[in-house]
Amino acid sequence: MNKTATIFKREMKSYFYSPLAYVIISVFLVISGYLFTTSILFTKSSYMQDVFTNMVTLMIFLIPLLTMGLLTEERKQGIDQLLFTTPLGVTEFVMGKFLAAFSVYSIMLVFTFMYPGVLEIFGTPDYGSIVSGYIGLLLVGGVFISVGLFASSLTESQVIAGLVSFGILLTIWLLTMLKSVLSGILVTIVLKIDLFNYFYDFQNGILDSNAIIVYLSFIFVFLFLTTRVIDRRRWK
Amino acid sequence: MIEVKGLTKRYGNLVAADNLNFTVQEGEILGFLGPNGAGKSTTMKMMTGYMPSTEGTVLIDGLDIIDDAQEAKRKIGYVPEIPPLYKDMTVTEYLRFVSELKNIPKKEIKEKIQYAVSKLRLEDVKNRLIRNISKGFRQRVGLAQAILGKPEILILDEPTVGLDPKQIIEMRELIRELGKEHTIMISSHILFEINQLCERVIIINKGKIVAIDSPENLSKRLSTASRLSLRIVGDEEKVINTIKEIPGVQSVSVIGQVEQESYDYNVLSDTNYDIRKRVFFDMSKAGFPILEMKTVELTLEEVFLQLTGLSEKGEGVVEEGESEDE
Repeated sequence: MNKTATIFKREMKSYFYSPLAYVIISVFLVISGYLFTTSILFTKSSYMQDVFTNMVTLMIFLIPLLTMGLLTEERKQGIDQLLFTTPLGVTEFVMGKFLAAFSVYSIMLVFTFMYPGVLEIFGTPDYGSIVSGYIGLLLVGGVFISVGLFASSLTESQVIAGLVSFGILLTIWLLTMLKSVLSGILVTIVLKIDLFNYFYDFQNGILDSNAIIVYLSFIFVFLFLTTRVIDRRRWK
Repeated sequence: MIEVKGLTKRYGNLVAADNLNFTVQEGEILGFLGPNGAGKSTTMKMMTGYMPSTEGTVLIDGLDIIDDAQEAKRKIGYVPEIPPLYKDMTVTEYLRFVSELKNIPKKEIKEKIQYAVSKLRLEDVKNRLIRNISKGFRQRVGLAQAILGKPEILILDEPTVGLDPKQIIEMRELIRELGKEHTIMISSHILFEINQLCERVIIINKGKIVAIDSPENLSKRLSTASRLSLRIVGDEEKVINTIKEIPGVQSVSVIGQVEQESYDYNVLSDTNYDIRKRVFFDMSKAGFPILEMKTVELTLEEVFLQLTGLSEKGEGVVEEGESEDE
Protein backbone atom coordinates (compact mmCIF):
# COMPACT_ATOMS: atom_id res chain seq x y z
CA MET A 1 0.00 0.00 0.00
CA ASN A 2 2.96 2.22 0.71
CA LYS A 3 4.07 1.96 -2.87
CA THR A 4 0.62 2.89 -4.13
CA ALA A 5 1.25 6.18 -2.33
CA THR A 6 4.67 6.50 -3.96
CA ILE A 7 3.22 6.03 -7.43
CA PHE A 8 0.29 8.30 -6.58
CA LYS A 9 2.54 11.14 -5.39
CA ARG A 10 4.71 10.95 -8.47
CA GLU A 11 1.74 10.95 -10.78
CA MET A 12 0.16 13.95 -9.06
CA LYS A 13 3.38 15.91 -9.36
CA SER A 14 3.57 15.01 -12.99
CA TYR A 15 0.01 16.21 -13.58
CA PHE A 16 0.68 19.55 -11.97
CA TYR A 17 4.25 20.10 -13.18
CA SER A 18 3.00 19.83 -16.73
CA PRO A 19 0.24 22.06 -18.05
CA LEU A 20 -2.04 19.05 -18.55
CA ALA A 21 -4.07 19.19 -15.34
CA TYR A 22 -4.44 22.97 -15.50
CA VAL A 23 -5.56 22.90 -19.11
CA ILE A 24 -8.10 20.13 -18.59
CA ILE A 25 -9.52 21.74 -15.45
CA SER A 26 -9.73 25.13 -17.19
CA VAL A 27 -11.43 23.76 -20.27
CA PHE A 28 -13.88 21.88 -18.09
CA LEU A 29 -14.69 24.92 -16.00
CA VAL A 30 -15.17 27.20 -18.98
CA ILE A 31 -17.53 24.83 -20.76
CA SER A 32 -19.43 23.64 -17.70
CA GLY A 33 -19.71 27.24 -16.49
CA TYR A 34 -21.17 28.21 -19.84
CA LEU A 35 -23.61 25.29 -19.76
CA PHE A 36 -24.58 26.09 -16.18
CA THR A 37 -25.23 29.71 -16.95
CA THR A 38 -27.32 29.09 -20.05
CA SER A 39 -29.36 26.29 -18.49
CA ILE A 40 -30.13 28.29 -15.36
CA LEU A 41 -31.02 31.39 -17.32
CA PHE A 42 -33.20 29.32 -19.60
CA THR A 43 -35.06 27.28 -16.99
CA LYS A 44 -34.96 29.85 -14.21
CA SER A 45 -35.03 26.93 -11.78
CA SER A 46 -32.66 25.94 -8.97
CA TYR A 47 -32.36 22.33 -10.09
CA MET A 48 -28.93 20.90 -10.80
CA GLN A 49 -30.13 17.91 -12.86
CA ASP A 50 -29.33 19.33 -16.27
CA VAL A 51 -26.02 20.65 -15.05
CA PHE A 52 -25.03 17.17 -13.87
CA THR A 53 -26.08 15.60 -17.16
CA ASN A 54 -23.98 18.14 -19.02
CA MET A 55 -20.98 17.47 -16.81
CA VAL A 56 -21.15 13.72 -17.37
CA THR A 57 -21.36 14.24 -21.12
CA LEU A 58 -18.39 16.57 -20.96
CA MET A 59 -16.40 13.91 -19.13
CA ILE A 60 -16.71 11.54 -22.09
CA PHE A 61 -14.39 13.95 -23.88
CA LEU A 62 -12.19 15.13 -21.04
CA ILE A 63 -11.38 11.98 -19.10
CA PRO A 64 -9.71 10.22 -22.04
CA LEU A 65 -7.36 13.23 -22.17
CA LEU A 66 -6.65 12.88 -18.50
CA THR A 67 -5.90 9.17 -18.62
CA MET A 68 -4.38 8.56 -22.03
CA GLY A 69 -0.78 9.11 -20.99
CA LEU A 70 -0.98 7.31 -17.66
CA LEU A 71 0.54 4.03 -18.77
CA THR A 72 1.88 4.76 -22.24
CA GLU A 73 4.77 7.01 -21.27
CA GLU A 74 6.57 4.67 -18.90
CA ARG A 75 6.44 1.94 -21.45
CA LYS A 76 7.63 4.13 -24.26
CA GLN A 77 10.59 5.39 -22.28
CA GLY A 78 11.45 2.00 -20.83
CA ILE A 79 10.78 3.13 -17.27
CA ASP A 80 8.63 0.07 -16.70
CA GLN A 81 11.89 -1.87 -16.79
CA LEU A 82 12.89 -0.07 -13.64
CA LEU A 83 9.48 -0.29 -11.98
CA PHE A 84 9.04 -4.03 -12.42
CA THR A 85 12.56 -4.94 -11.43
CA THR A 86 11.91 -3.41 -8.01
CA PRO A 87 9.60 -5.11 -5.54
CA LEU A 88 6.68 -3.00 -6.82
CA GLY A 89 3.50 -4.98 -7.50
CA VAL A 90 1.40 -4.38 -10.61
CA THR A 91 -1.74 -3.84 -8.51
CA GLU A 92 -0.05 -1.16 -6.42
CA PHE A 93 1.15 0.47 -9.60
CA VAL A 94 -2.28 0.52 -11.24
CA MET A 95 -4.00 1.69 -8.04
CA GLY A 96 -1.55 4.58 -7.66
CA LYS A 97 -2.26 5.68 -11.20
CA PHE A 98 -6.01 5.35 -10.81
CA LEU A 99 -6.09 7.31 -7.58
CA ALA A 100 -4.00 10.11 -9.08
CA ALA A 101 -6.33 10.58 -12.04
CA PHE A 102 -9.31 10.26 -9.72
CA SER A 103 -7.91 12.99 -7.50
CA VAL A 104 -7.43 15.39 -10.37
CA TYR A 105 -11.00 14.62 -11.39
CA SER A 106 -12.24 15.27 -7.86
CA ILE A 107 -10.39 18.58 -7.74
CA MET A 108 -12.17 19.46 -10.95
CA LEU A 109 -15.52 18.72 -9.31
CA VAL A 110 -14.69 20.74 -6.22
CA PHE A 111 -14.49 23.85 -8.39
CA THR A 112 -18.07 23.27 -9.48
CA PHE A 113 -19.32 23.67 -5.91
CA MET A 114 -19.71 27.29 -6.86
CA TYR A 115 -22.77 26.38 -8.93
CA PRO A 116 -24.86 25.30 -5.93
CA GLY A 117 -23.41 28.39 -4.24
CA VAL A 118 -24.88 30.58 -6.94
CA LEU A 119 -28.20 28.75 -6.68
CA GLU A 120 -28.20 29.31 -2.93
CA ILE A 121 -27.93 33.05 -3.45
CA PHE A 122 -30.85 33.25 -5.85
CA GLY A 123 -33.05 30.40 -4.79
CA THR A 124 -33.49 27.32 -2.61
CA PRO A 125 -31.59 24.39 -4.11
CA ASP A 126 -32.40 20.83 -3.09
CA TYR A 127 -29.24 19.77 -1.34
CA GLY A 128 -30.25 16.14 -1.13
CA SER A 129 -30.25 15.72 -4.89
CA ILE A 130 -27.12 17.83 -5.21
CA VAL A 131 -25.17 15.59 -2.83
CA SER A 132 -26.40 12.42 -4.50
CA GLY A 133 -25.65 13.99 -7.86
CA TYR A 134 -22.05 14.57 -6.85
CA ILE A 135 -21.75 11.02 -5.51
CA GLY A 136 -23.02 9.83 -8.88
CA LEU A 137 -20.51 12.04 -10.68
CA LEU A 138 -17.66 10.62 -8.62
CA LEU A 139 -18.73 7.07 -9.41
CA VAL A 140 -19.26 7.66 -13.12
CA GLY A 141 -15.93 9.46 -13.28
CA GLY A 142 -14.29 6.52 -11.56
CA VAL A 143 -15.66 4.20 -14.22
CA PHE A 144 -14.50 6.52 -17.02
CA ILE A 145 -11.04 6.71 -15.50
CA SER A 146 -10.73 2.95 -15.16
CA VAL A 147 -11.78 2.62 -18.80
CA GLY A 148 -9.17 5.22 -19.77
CA LEU A 149 -6.51 3.47 -17.74
CA PHE A 150 -7.34 0.20 -19.41
CA ALA A 151 -7.06 1.79 -22.86
CA SER A 152 -3.75 3.30 -21.84
CA SER A 153 -2.38 -0.11 -20.92
CA LEU A 154 -3.03 -1.44 -24.41
CA THR A 155 -0.67 0.74 -26.39
CA GLU A 156 2.45 2.88 -26.33
CA SER A 157 0.70 5.70 -28.13
CA GLN A 158 -1.14 8.35 -26.15
CA VAL A 159 -3.28 9.25 -29.13
CA ILE A 160 -4.44 5.68 -29.66
CA ALA A 161 -5.09 5.24 -25.94
CA GLY A 162 -7.15 8.44 -25.95
CA LEU A 163 -9.14 7.36 -28.99
CA VAL A 164 -9.82 3.88 -27.62
CA SER A 165 -11.14 5.15 -24.31
CA PHE A 166 -13.15 7.83 -26.07
CA GLY A 167 -14.56 5.12 -28.34
CA ILE A 168 -15.55 2.87 -25.46
CA LEU A 169 -17.22 5.70 -23.54
CA LEU A 170 -19.02 7.03 -26.57
CA THR A 171 -20.33 3.56 -27.39
CA ILE A 172 -21.72 3.18 -23.89
CA TRP A 173 -23.28 6.62 -24.18
CA LEU A 174 -24.95 5.73 -27.46
CA LEU A 175 -26.38 2.49 -26.05
CA THR A 176 -29.47 4.47 -25.11
CA MET A 177 -30.36 4.69 -28.78
CA LEU A 178 -30.37 0.91 -29.10
CA LYS A 179 -33.16 0.59 -26.57
CA SER A 180 -35.78 1.76 -29.02
CA VAL A 181 -34.69 -0.64 -31.75
CA LEU A 182 -34.18 -3.74 -29.63
CA SER A 183 -36.71 -5.82 -27.79
CA GLY A 184 -37.01 -8.42 -25.07
CA ILE A 185 -33.93 -9.61 -23.24
CA LEU A 186 -31.60 -7.45 -25.27
CA VAL A 187 -33.16 -4.32 -23.87
CA THR A 188 -32.61 -5.63 -20.37
CA ILE A 189 -28.96 -6.30 -21.13
CA VAL A 190 -28.45 -2.86 -22.64
CA LEU A 191 -30.14 -1.27 -19.68
CA LYS A 192 -27.88 -3.21 -17.35
CA ILE A 193 -24.68 -1.90 -18.89
CA ASP A 194 -25.94 1.57 -19.72
CA LEU A 195 -23.97 3.61 -17.21
CA PHE A 196 -25.86 6.77 -18.00
CA ASN A 197 -29.17 5.16 -17.22
CA TYR A 198 -28.03 4.57 -13.65
CA PHE A 199 -26.94 8.15 -13.36
CA TYR A 200 -30.51 9.50 -13.58
CA ASP A 201 -31.22 8.12 -10.13
CA PHE A 202 -28.30 9.96 -8.58
CA GLN A 203 -29.28 13.11 -10.39
CA ASN A 204 -32.76 12.95 -8.95
CA GLY A 205 -31.62 12.39 -5.41
CA ILE A 206 -31.88 8.61 -5.25
CA LEU A 207 -28.95 6.67 -3.85
CA ASP A 208 -29.56 3.25 -5.34
CA SER A 209 -27.31 0.58 -3.86
CA ASN A 210 -27.76 -1.42 -7.04
CA ALA A 211 -26.36 1.40 -9.13
CA ILE A 212 -23.47 1.93 -6.73
CA ILE A 213 -22.58 -1.73 -6.96
CA VAL A 214 -22.73 -1.65 -10.76
CA TYR A 215 -20.40 1.35 -10.90
CA LEU A 216 -17.95 -0.15 -8.44
CA SER A 217 -17.98 -3.43 -10.37
CA PHE A 218 -17.19 -1.59 -13.58
CA ILE A 219 -14.25 0.11 -11.90
CA PHE A 220 -13.04 -3.15 -10.45
CA VAL A 221 -13.31 -5.03 -13.75
CA PHE A 222 -11.44 -2.42 -15.77
CA LEU A 223 -8.69 -2.02 -13.18
CA PHE A 224 -8.33 -5.77 -13.00
CA LEU A 225 -8.13 -6.02 -16.80
CA THR A 226 -5.47 -3.33 -16.75
CA THR A 227 -3.28 -5.30 -14.34
CA ARG A 228 -3.79 -8.39 -16.48
CA VAL A 229 -2.72 -6.58 -19.63
CA ILE A 230 0.43 -5.27 -17.96
CA ASP A 231 1.31 -8.68 -16.55
CA ARG A 232 0.50 -10.48 -19.72
CA ARG A 233 2.74 -8.32 -21.84
CA ARG A 234 5.77 -9.26 -19.80
CA TRP A 235 4.87 -12.95 -19.89
CA LYS A 236 4.38 -13.04 -23.61
CA MET B 1 26.17 -15.32 -6.98
CA ILE B 2 24.05 -15.68 -10.10
CA GLU B 3 23.35 -19.00 -11.71
CA VAL B 4 21.76 -19.08 -15.11
CA LYS B 5 20.52 -22.52 -16.10
CA GLY B 6 19.14 -23.46 -19.47
CA LEU B 7 17.73 -19.98 -19.99
CA THR B 8 15.66 -19.79 -23.15
CA LYS B 9 13.38 -17.14 -24.57
CA ARG B 10 11.27 -17.72 -27.62
CA TYR B 11 9.04 -15.24 -29.39
CA GLY B 12 7.03 -17.45 -31.68
CA ASN B 13 9.61 -18.97 -33.98
CA LEU B 14 12.32 -16.52 -33.06
CA VAL B 15 14.74 -17.73 -30.41
CA ALA B 16 16.17 -14.70 -28.65
CA ALA B 17 18.09 -16.69 -26.05
CA ASP B 18 18.90 -20.33 -26.58
CA ASN B 19 19.67 -22.55 -23.60
CA LEU B 20 22.13 -20.23 -21.88
CA ASN B 21 24.16 -21.64 -19.01
CA PHE B 22 26.64 -19.57 -17.05
CA THR B 23 27.39 -18.20 -13.63
CA VAL B 24 28.40 -14.80 -12.37
CA GLN B 25 30.87 -15.14 -9.55
CA GLU B 26 30.96 -12.98 -6.49
CA GLY B 27 33.05 -9.86 -6.84
CA GLU B 28 33.82 -10.16 -10.52
CA ILE B 29 33.09 -7.84 -13.39
CA LEU B 30 31.68 -10.03 -16.10
CA GLY B 31 31.48 -8.82 -19.66
CA PHE B 32 28.58 -9.81 -21.85
CA LEU B 33 29.51 -9.28 -25.42
CA GLY B 34 27.65 -9.67 -28.64
CA PRO B 35 26.59 -7.84 -31.77
CA ASN B 36 23.34 -5.90 -31.73
CA GLY B 37 20.41 -8.27 -31.64
CA ALA B 38 22.42 -11.14 -30.17
CA GLY B 39 20.09 -11.46 -27.20
CA LYS B 40 22.04 -9.52 -24.58
CA SER B 41 19.21 -7.28 -23.46
CA THR B 42 16.70 -10.11 -23.51
CA THR B 43 18.95 -12.19 -21.30
CA MET B 44 19.44 -9.32 -18.89
CA LYS B 45 15.72 -8.64 -18.76
CA MET B 46 15.16 -12.23 -17.75
CA MET B 47 17.97 -12.12 -15.20
CA THR B 48 16.46 -9.07 -13.52
CA GLY B 49 12.98 -10.52 -13.42
CA TYR B 50 11.47 -7.99 -15.79
CA MET B 51 10.57 -10.73 -18.20
CA PRO B 52 10.04 -14.40 -17.46
CA SER B 53 11.93 -16.99 -19.45
CA THR B 54 10.30 -19.51 -21.76
CA GLU B 55 12.47 -22.19 -20.17
CA GLY B 56 15.23 -22.29 -17.62
CA THR B 57 15.88 -20.50 -14.37
CA VAL B 58 17.88 -17.67 -12.92
CA LEU B 59 19.03 -18.05 -9.33
CA ILE B 60 20.24 -15.01 -7.43
CA ASP B 61 22.14 -16.26 -4.41
CA GLY B 62 20.02 -19.38 -4.62
CA LEU B 63 16.75 -17.44 -4.90
CA ASP B 64 14.64 -17.89 -7.99
CA ILE B 65 14.04 -14.56 -9.72
CA ILE B 66 10.43 -15.45 -10.50
CA ASP B 67 9.37 -17.53 -7.50
CA ASP B 68 11.20 -15.51 -4.86
CA ALA B 69 10.91 -12.28 -6.80
CA GLN B 70 10.68 -9.89 -3.85
CA GLU B 71 13.81 -11.15 -2.14
CA ALA B 72 15.81 -11.77 -5.28
CA LYS B 73 15.03 -8.39 -6.85
CA ARG B 74 16.32 -6.65 -3.78
CA LYS B 75 19.78 -8.02 -4.48
CA ILE B 76 19.93 -6.55 -7.97
CA GLY B 77 20.44 -3.07 -9.28
CA TYR B 78 19.58 -2.85 -12.95
CA VAL B 79 20.29 -0.18 -15.52
CA PRO B 80 18.45 -0.87 -18.79
CA GLU B 81 19.90 0.24 -22.08
CA ILE B 82 17.94 3.47 -22.00
CA PRO B 83 18.20 4.85 -18.46
CA PRO B 84 14.68 4.66 -16.99
CA LEU B 85 14.28 8.27 -15.95
CA TYR B 86 11.29 10.52 -15.35
CA LYS B 87 12.34 13.70 -17.06
CA ASP B 88 9.91 15.84 -15.11
CA MET B 89 11.55 15.05 -11.77
CA THR B 90 14.69 16.44 -10.22
CA VAL B 91 17.54 14.03 -9.59
CA THR B 92 16.86 13.95 -5.85
CA GLU B 93 13.11 13.52 -6.29
CA TYR B 94 13.74 10.67 -8.67
CA LEU B 95 16.15 8.92 -6.35
CA ARG B 96 13.71 9.30 -3.49
CA PHE B 97 10.97 7.77 -5.64
CA VAL B 98 13.13 4.76 -6.49
CA SER B 99 14.21 4.37 -2.85
CA GLU B 100 10.60 4.08 -1.81
CA LEU B 101 9.92 1.47 -4.47
CA LYS B 102 12.93 -0.47 -3.28
CA ASN B 103 11.56 -0.71 0.26
CA ILE B 104 14.35 1.35 1.77
CA PRO B 105 13.20 2.40 5.25
CA LYS B 106 12.11 6.06 5.46
CA LYS B 107 14.82 6.95 7.96
CA GLU B 108 17.62 5.71 5.74
CA ILE B 109 16.44 7.19 2.45
CA LYS B 110 18.21 10.51 2.84
CA GLU B 111 21.49 8.88 3.70
CA LYS B 112 21.22 6.35 0.87
CA ILE B 113 20.53 9.11 -1.65
CA GLN B 114 23.44 11.09 -0.29
CA TYR B 115 25.66 8.08 -0.77
CA ALA B 116 24.55 7.46 -4.35
CA VAL B 117 24.86 11.14 -5.23
CA SER B 118 28.40 11.41 -3.94
CA LYS B 119 29.47 8.07 -5.34
CA LEU B 120 28.40 9.08 -8.83
CA ARG B 121 29.45 12.72 -8.41
CA LEU B 122 26.02 14.16 -8.98
CA GLU B 123 26.20 16.96 -6.38
CA ASP B 124 26.13 19.71 -8.98
CA VAL B 125 22.97 18.51 -10.67
CA LYS B 126 21.04 16.96 -7.82
CA ASN B 127 18.40 19.68 -7.71
CA ARG B 128 17.98 20.05 -11.43
CA LEU B 129 15.26 18.53 -13.55
CA ILE B 130 16.46 15.39 -15.30
CA ARG B 131 15.14 16.90 -18.52
CA ASN B 132 17.81 19.59 -18.29
CA ILE B 133 20.93 17.58 -17.55
CA SER B 134 23.36 16.16 -20.09
CA LYS B 135 23.29 12.63 -21.36
CA GLY B 136 26.39 11.72 -19.38
CA PHE B 137 24.74 12.86 -16.18
CA ARG B 138 21.53 11.04 -17.05
CA GLN B 139 23.45 7.84 -17.50
CA ARG B 140 24.98 8.39 -14.08
CA VAL B 141 21.60 9.04 -12.53
CA GLY B 142 20.57 5.72 -14.00
CA LEU B 143 23.51 4.10 -12.24
CA ALA B 144 22.81 6.00 -9.02
CA GLN B 145 19.32 4.57 -9.03
CA ALA B 146 20.76 1.08 -9.37
CA ILE B 147 23.12 1.35 -6.41
CA LEU B 148 20.44 2.68 -4.04
CA GLY B 149 20.12 0.26 -1.18
CA LYS B 150 23.50 -1.23 -2.05
CA PRO B 151 22.42 -4.32 -3.95
CA GLU B 152 25.11 -6.96 -4.21
CA ILE B 153 24.72 -7.27 -7.95
CA LEU B 154 24.64 -4.63 -10.65
CA ILE B 155 23.41 -5.50 -14.10
CA LEU B 156 24.27 -2.82 -16.62
CA ASP B 157 22.97 -2.94 -20.16
CA GLU B 158 25.29 -1.00 -22.48
CA PRO B 159 26.06 1.73 -19.96
CA THR B 160 28.26 3.79 -22.27
CA VAL B 161 26.06 3.86 -25.32
CA GLY B 162 25.61 7.34 -26.75
CA LEU B 163 28.16 9.06 -24.52
CA ASP B 164 30.99 11.22 -25.78
CA PRO B 165 34.57 9.94 -25.37
CA LYS B 166 35.23 11.89 -22.18
CA GLN B 167 32.01 10.67 -20.61
CA ILE B 168 32.82 7.12 -21.66
CA ILE B 169 36.13 7.26 -19.82
CA GLU B 170 34.44 8.70 -16.73
CA MET B 171 31.75 6.06 -16.87
CA ARG B 172 34.32 3.31 -17.20
CA GLU B 173 36.16 4.60 -14.16
CA LEU B 174 32.95 4.72 -12.20
CA ILE B 175 32.11 1.17 -13.11
CA ARG B 176 35.56 0.01 -12.13
CA GLU B 177 35.15 1.76 -8.81
CA LEU B 178 31.72 0.23 -8.25
CA GLY B 179 33.26 -3.13 -9.08
CA LYS B 180 35.10 -3.00 -5.78
CA GLU B 181 31.85 -3.20 -3.88
CA HIS B 182 29.48 -4.93 -6.23
CA THR B 183 29.41 -7.94 -8.48
CA ILE B 184 28.87 -6.51 -11.93
CA MET B 185 27.61 -7.86 -15.19
CA ILE B 186 27.98 -5.44 -18.05
CA SER B 187 26.86 -5.86 -21.63
CA SER B 188 28.41 -4.15 -24.57
CA HIS B 189 29.08 -4.45 -28.22
CA ILE B 190 32.26 -2.44 -27.80
CA LEU B 191 35.11 -4.84 -27.27
CA PHE B 192 37.64 -2.35 -26.10
CA GLU B 193 35.44 -1.46 -23.19
CA ILE B 194 35.00 -5.04 -22.06
CA ASN B 195 38.71 -5.62 -22.48
CA GLN B 196 39.39 -2.72 -20.14
CA LEU B 197 36.92 -3.61 -17.46
CA CYS B 198 36.29 -7.29 -17.27
CA GLU B 199 38.07 -10.28 -15.88
CA ARG B 200 35.80 -12.64 -17.72
CA VAL B 201 33.86 -12.36 -20.93
CA ILE B 202 30.86 -14.19 -22.28
CA ILE B 203 30.43 -13.84 -26.00
CA ILE B 204 27.00 -14.50 -27.39
CA ASN B 205 25.67 -14.49 -30.89
CA LYS B 206 22.19 -15.26 -32.16
CA GLY B 207 21.10 -16.19 -28.67
CA LYS B 208 23.84 -18.74 -28.10
CA ILE B 209 26.99 -18.59 -26.02
CA VAL B 210 30.02 -18.84 -28.27
CA ALA B 211 32.75 -18.46 -25.65
CA ILE B 212 33.36 -17.86 -21.97
CA ASP B 213 36.90 -16.92 -20.99
CA SER B 214 39.20 -14.11 -19.90
CA PRO B 215 39.93 -11.49 -22.56
CA GLU B 216 43.60 -12.54 -22.70
CA ASN B 217 42.83 -16.22 -23.07
CA LEU B 218 40.32 -15.51 -25.75
CA SER B 219 42.93 -13.67 -27.77
CA LYS B 220 45.50 -16.39 -27.18
CA ARG B 221 43.21 -19.30 -27.76
CA LEU B 222 42.21 -18.09 -31.13
CA SER B 223 45.44 -16.77 -32.46
CA THR B 224 47.02 -19.41 -34.62
CA ALA B 225 49.33 -16.77 -35.99
CA SER B 226 51.30 -13.95 -34.48
CA ARG B 227 51.50 -10.67 -36.19
CA LEU B 228 54.34 -8.27 -36.70
CA SER B 229 53.83 -4.71 -37.75
CA LEU B 230 56.81 -3.17 -39.57
CA ARG B 231 57.84 0.14 -41.10
CA ILE B 232 60.74 -0.27 -43.46
CA VAL B 233 62.53 2.11 -45.84
CA GLY B 234 63.18 0.72 -49.29
CA ASP B 235 61.73 -0.85 -52.36
CA GLU B 236 58.37 -2.47 -51.63
CA GLU B 237 58.77 -5.60 -53.68
CA LYS B 238 62.29 -6.36 -52.57
CA VAL B 239 61.33 -6.01 -48.93
CA ILE B 240 58.40 -8.35 -49.35
CA ASN B 241 60.49 -10.96 -51.13
CA THR B 242 63.17 -10.81 -48.46
CA ILE B 243 60.71 -11.27 -45.64
CA LYS B 244 58.95 -14.12 -47.40
CA GLU B 245 62.14 -16.12 -47.38
CA ILE B 246 62.25 -16.15 -43.60
CA PRO B 247 61.06 -19.53 -42.24
CA GLY B 248 57.69 -19.44 -40.49
CA VAL B 249 56.33 -16.48 -42.37
CA GLN B 250 52.83 -17.10 -43.63
CA SER B 251 52.05 -13.90 -45.41
CA VAL B 252 53.25 -10.37 -45.93
CA SER B 253 51.03 -7.50 -46.91
CA VAL B 254 51.57 -3.81 -47.43
CA ILE B 255 49.30 -1.64 -45.36
CA GLY B 256 50.28 1.68 -46.83
CA GLN B 257 52.66 4.56 -46.66
CA VAL B 258 52.81 6.74 -43.58
CA GLU B 259 56.32 8.16 -43.63
CA GLN B 260 58.10 9.16 -46.80
CA GLU B 261 60.22 6.55 -48.53
CA SER B 262 58.98 3.82 -46.19
CA TYR B 263 56.10 1.39 -46.27
CA ASP B 264 54.18 -0.26 -43.47
CA TYR B 265 53.91 -4.03 -43.57
CA ASN B 266 51.84 -6.60 -41.83
CA VAL B 267 53.53 -9.97 -41.38
CA LEU B 268 51.78 -13.08 -40.17
CA SER B 269 53.88 -15.99 -38.93
CA ASP B 270 53.46 -19.28 -37.09
CA THR B 271 53.28 -18.88 -33.37
CA ASN B 272 56.20 -21.22 -32.78
CA TYR B 273 58.64 -19.04 -34.72
CA ASP B 274 59.98 -15.75 -33.47
CA ILE B 275 60.97 -14.08 -36.70
CA ARG B 276 62.01 -10.72 -35.27
CA LYS B 277 65.77 -11.33 -35.17
CA ARG B 278 65.82 -12.70 -38.69
CA VAL B 279 63.86 -9.73 -39.95
CA PHE B 280 66.33 -7.38 -38.31
CA PHE B 281 69.47 -9.06 -39.73
CA ASP B 282 68.02 -9.71 -43.17
CA MET B 283 66.82 -6.16 -43.59
CA SER B 284 70.10 -4.85 -42.34
CA LYS B 285 72.02 -7.03 -44.81
CA ALA B 286 69.78 -5.91 -47.67
CA GLY B 287 70.23 -2.28 -46.66
CA PHE B 288 66.60 -1.54 -45.74
CA PRO B 289 66.46 0.37 -42.45
CA ILE B 290 63.67 -0.70 -40.09
CA LEU B 291 61.98 2.34 -38.58
CA GLU B 292 59.46 0.50 -36.50
CA MET B 293 58.79 -3.05 -35.45
CA LYS B 294 56.23 -4.35 -33.03
CA THR B 295 54.25 -7.47 -32.36
CA VAL B 296 50.51 -7.03 -32.47
CA GLU B 297 48.26 -9.34 -30.55
CA LEU B 298 44.97 -10.30 -32.02
CA THR B 299 42.47 -7.86 -30.64
CA LEU B 300 39.31 -8.93 -28.96
CA GLU B 301 37.53 -7.49 -31.94
CA GLU B 302 39.07 -10.04 -34.26
CA VAL B 303 38.48 -12.84 -31.80
CA PHE B 304 34.94 -11.73 -31.61
CA LEU B 305 34.49 -11.60 -35.34
CA GLN B 306 36.05 -15.01 -35.68
CA LEU B 307 33.81 -16.49 -33.06
CA THR B 308 30.66 -14.96 -34.33
CA GLY B 309 31.64 -15.76 -37.89
CA LEU B 310 30.96 -12.29 -39.17
CA SER B 311 34.26 -11.98 -40.93
CA GLU B 312 37.00 -14.03 -42.50
CA LYS B 313 40.11 -14.60 -40.46
CA GLY B 314 42.67 -11.84 -40.71
CA GLU B 315 40.41 -9.35 -42.41
CA GLY B 316 39.79 -5.91 -41.08
CA VAL B 317 42.70 -6.30 -38.76
CA VAL B 318 44.66 -3.23 -39.46
CA GLU B 319 42.57 -0.43 -38.05
CA GLU B 320 42.06 -2.27 -34.84
CA GLY B 321 45.77 -2.83 -34.33
CA GLU B 322 46.34 0.84 -34.76
CA SER B 323 43.53 2.15 -32.68
CA GLU B 324 44.81 0.10 -29.79
CA ASP B 325 47.99 2.13 -29.72
CA GLU B 326 46.21 5.40 -29.15
